[in-house]
Amino acid sequence: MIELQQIVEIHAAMVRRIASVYERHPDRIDDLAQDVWLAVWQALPRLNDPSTLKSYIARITQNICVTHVRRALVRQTQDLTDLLIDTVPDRSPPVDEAAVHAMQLARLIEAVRDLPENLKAVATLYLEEMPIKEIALALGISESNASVRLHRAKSAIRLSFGDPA
Amino acid sequence: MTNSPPHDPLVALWQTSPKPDTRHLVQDIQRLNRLHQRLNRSVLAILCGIAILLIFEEATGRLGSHGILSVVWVGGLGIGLIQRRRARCNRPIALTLDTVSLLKSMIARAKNDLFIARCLYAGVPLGAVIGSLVMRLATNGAPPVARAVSPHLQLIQIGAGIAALVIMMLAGVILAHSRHHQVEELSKKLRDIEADL
Repeated sequence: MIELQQIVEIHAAMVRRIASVYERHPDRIDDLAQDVWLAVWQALPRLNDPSTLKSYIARITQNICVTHVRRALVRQTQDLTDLLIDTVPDRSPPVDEAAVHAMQLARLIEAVRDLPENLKAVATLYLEEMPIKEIALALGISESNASVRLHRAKSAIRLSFGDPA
Repeated sequence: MTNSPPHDPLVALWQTSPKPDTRHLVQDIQRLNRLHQRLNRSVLAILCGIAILLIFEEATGRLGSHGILSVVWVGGLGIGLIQRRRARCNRPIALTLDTVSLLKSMIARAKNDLFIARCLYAGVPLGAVIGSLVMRLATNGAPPVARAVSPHLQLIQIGAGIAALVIMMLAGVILAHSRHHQVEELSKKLRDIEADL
């Protein structure tokens, strides 16, 4: 159990980031993250290579989020921008800078969330620093296909940031 | 483009999201797991209780089904337990599959559930009607059997039978609606992911 505690501490942010792309409401993001960690706990004995733990957890998170159809998805009961501004830690840069940073992060999450399903998964795993080979493996598509999708996803995200490049 | 570049500003921005509070997460997961186990045990206890009640009723002769109901119930319980255990073992394997394969397997399972649900809401009343007709045909012309059951009790039995029938049909309709929705959602997700570029 200590091991799980350590794993949770290291990868909790990643799980929550991926979950926040598929779910808007903070309580439901927590529920989704809890489902993910329960599944990770059950699947952990089947992990053969500990060096692949991050991509293993990312894959489980992605699968749980993609198949998360029983609950109502994406309800706009609370604006994520407000939530992120509220949760910015005090030790960060001055308030204004932190607020601007939180706004940019919220815009990025919103941009990824607005991507079509076939681009969203690729973009999320890329932002989690997974190499293209692992992204292709995790999604069951070819590497060239994953590359093209990633290019399109990045273009769409940059466009939503007002950067046409 | 093929690998995640370390200096991509989008990746850098993404990685700066605030770290969630994980102090109680592991305890919550353990509590959730215990709750699941407790719920499973409670359901199993209720189902075993019904089996014991059926066996007792048939052993004392109060139910004239000669043990058939008990055998069917206990058999169903056994099959259900085996299937549940298999599903529990398969879940972690399934979750580590690639997304496309996982969606395909989930669609297949949802379709299977949809078929079972349709059997429940369409097959149950059909089976009841056919059973009733067969009983009528079988007893047609035969001398009426003297029954020691009071009319009041007979009414309760009929009421309970109809209530069970209605509950099964309702459960079937709800399950079918849910699974139909699930099949549609999953198929849409699969189409989106597999969409040609």
